[in-house]
Amino acid sequence: MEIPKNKCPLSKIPTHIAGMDEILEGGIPKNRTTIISGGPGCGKSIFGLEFLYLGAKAGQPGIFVTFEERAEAVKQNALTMGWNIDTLEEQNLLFIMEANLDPKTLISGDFTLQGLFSIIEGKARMMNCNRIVVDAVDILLRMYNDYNRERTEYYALHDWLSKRKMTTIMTVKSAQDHGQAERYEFLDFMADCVIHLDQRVKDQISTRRIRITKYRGSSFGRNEYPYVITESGLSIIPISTTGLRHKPLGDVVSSGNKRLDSILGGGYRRSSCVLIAGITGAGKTTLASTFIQSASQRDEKVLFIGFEESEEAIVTNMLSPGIDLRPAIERDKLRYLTALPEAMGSEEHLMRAINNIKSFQPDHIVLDAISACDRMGSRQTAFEFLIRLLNFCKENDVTCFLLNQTTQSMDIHQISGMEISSMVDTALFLGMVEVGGEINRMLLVLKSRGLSHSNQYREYMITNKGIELMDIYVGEGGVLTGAARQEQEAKEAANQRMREHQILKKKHELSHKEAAKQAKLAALQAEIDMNKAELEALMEEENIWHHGREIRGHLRGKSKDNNISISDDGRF
Amino acid sequence: MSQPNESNYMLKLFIAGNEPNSVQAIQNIQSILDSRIKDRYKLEIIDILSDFQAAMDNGVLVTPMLIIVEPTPETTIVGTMSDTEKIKAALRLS
Repeated sequence: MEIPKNKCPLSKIPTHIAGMDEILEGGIPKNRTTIISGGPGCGKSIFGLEFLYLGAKAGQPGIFVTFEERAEAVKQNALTMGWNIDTLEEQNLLFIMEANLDPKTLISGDFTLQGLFSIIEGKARMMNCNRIVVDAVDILLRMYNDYNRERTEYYALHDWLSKRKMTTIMTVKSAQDHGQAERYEFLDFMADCVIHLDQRVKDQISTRRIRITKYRGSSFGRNEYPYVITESGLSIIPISTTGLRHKPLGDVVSSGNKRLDSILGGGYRRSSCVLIAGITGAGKTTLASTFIQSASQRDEKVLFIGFEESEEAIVTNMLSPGIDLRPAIERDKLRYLTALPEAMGSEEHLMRAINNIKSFQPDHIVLDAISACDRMGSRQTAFEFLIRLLNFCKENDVTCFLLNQTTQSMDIHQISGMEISSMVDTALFLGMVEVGGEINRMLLVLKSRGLSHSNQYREYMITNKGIELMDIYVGEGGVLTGAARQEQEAKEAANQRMREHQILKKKHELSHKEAAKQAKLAALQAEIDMNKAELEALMEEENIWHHGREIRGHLRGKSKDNNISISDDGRF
Repeated sequence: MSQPNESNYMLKLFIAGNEPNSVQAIQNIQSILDSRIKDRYKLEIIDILSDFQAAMDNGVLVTPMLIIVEPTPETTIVGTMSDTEKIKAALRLS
């Protein structure tokens, strides 16, 4: 149970669940127990089943022990994900073992789980398998109606499985969900690897998160990662874990506009992710095309993935602000990949994009526009598409330009529209404000990672010589006023509140832990006091006994030595 | 349905080798049966350690486990069979 003393790396078994092995840095521990905990409906059983199913497909037999559901129900659920369990069962590669005890069963006296062990052992030997998923064993253990006993049996089960070198996944109902965190805390100590699944509803959208809380003898991705249950199983989206493998941001490249370069602190960073947000007509495509033109002049290649306009339309439209993209296309420095989002599924979109990146080897890609990705299906699929594409680009040193169409002209809070802001290195916001009866275009650099950038609004115009930035934007009365400032203030206030909230939350957590510690200390102290008292009592008894023996000794005539003292007493 | 007292009793007791619980269960059930329905019962003792298939076919997840096959309906009792009254009630002997 200890971390192996020899330094050889822990053996792991890949789960082959999309994205999972990346955060587990290889897979779950071999011949050991992994616990998956989570509330109802968060996919614990699917996790276990998918692990066995994918293993079985690769020729590794496995047993799925279900205490909660009928085997038929498990198989049917599997079929909805296209997993045909029956075929694998016929090949002795997978076995769904129904472990339900008749609820009418009477209990008279003590019993053990030996039956369960025998069945598993017999079946495992028959199938020559050492992968097992124990799904919701708490249902069976509840029969004991005694938590200490339940705990003992968990240990017995764990012990039995480890002795047989079974690679085990045990699913456990999340402790927090029945307010008995302490009661099941021991499970986390017992297992070698603990994965927590969590489902929460935020803004009426249900999101799922996965987190590894423990991995004995191995490092792991420590963040919370979003995951989805798709038509083909679980899929984890490692947002920041791959960050470890991401190369650092590259050198600075010009945006194609000198003034913008100076605002950005030099330009864009190579292999970074640049977000350009703004309402329709704000000049997002123009800004991106400005960059494309300058990149192609440096002999760098750009892939333009368009969901909104055709290649011809974009090239023609860009002629009016004086950007001629045709030479770049002719020299094969610029390629367009256009399709309507609805044309195919997100997976297909992703594969198409990735294949094109692989074959064309661009230095940069432009995605126009991420707001259209929602139309590939749900928000979740769009999110997944983006994250995977971004990850792929980051790993391959490709700069990503994401164009996003916002609905309100000055709504800078919503620039990314999806939860990808953590991946964005540079964020540009293009807005329009009405000042003195005219609409002015405003540009703001919200973020420019790794570069010191201007934080002021700049007015810009789209001329027939491309984008032209004006001097620092000054509102009425000579200072920055109006919507711009309010937005900035609102944003800062919101950030401040968020930080305060987080600090408060941490403080609460800490004080809870402190209180728990105090309680435990007090309990220990009480135990020590009790032991001390017992010891004192024992010593007291011992003294009394010795004392008594002396007195008895005196009475039995040993008193001769003490004649004097007795006579001193005056009674003799 | 015939009177339980006149019918034959068919029981299966699943045990796990000589586990203390199993040994106790055999003693307890036999003494109950012998005291009330001697010669009118058939008790089959199955050791699941040597016959896992029987455990699987009968859904024996815990041991000791007694299945009263007859009189019907089938009743399952788990444990050391220490609660004599409960066992008698299940056998409809009380």
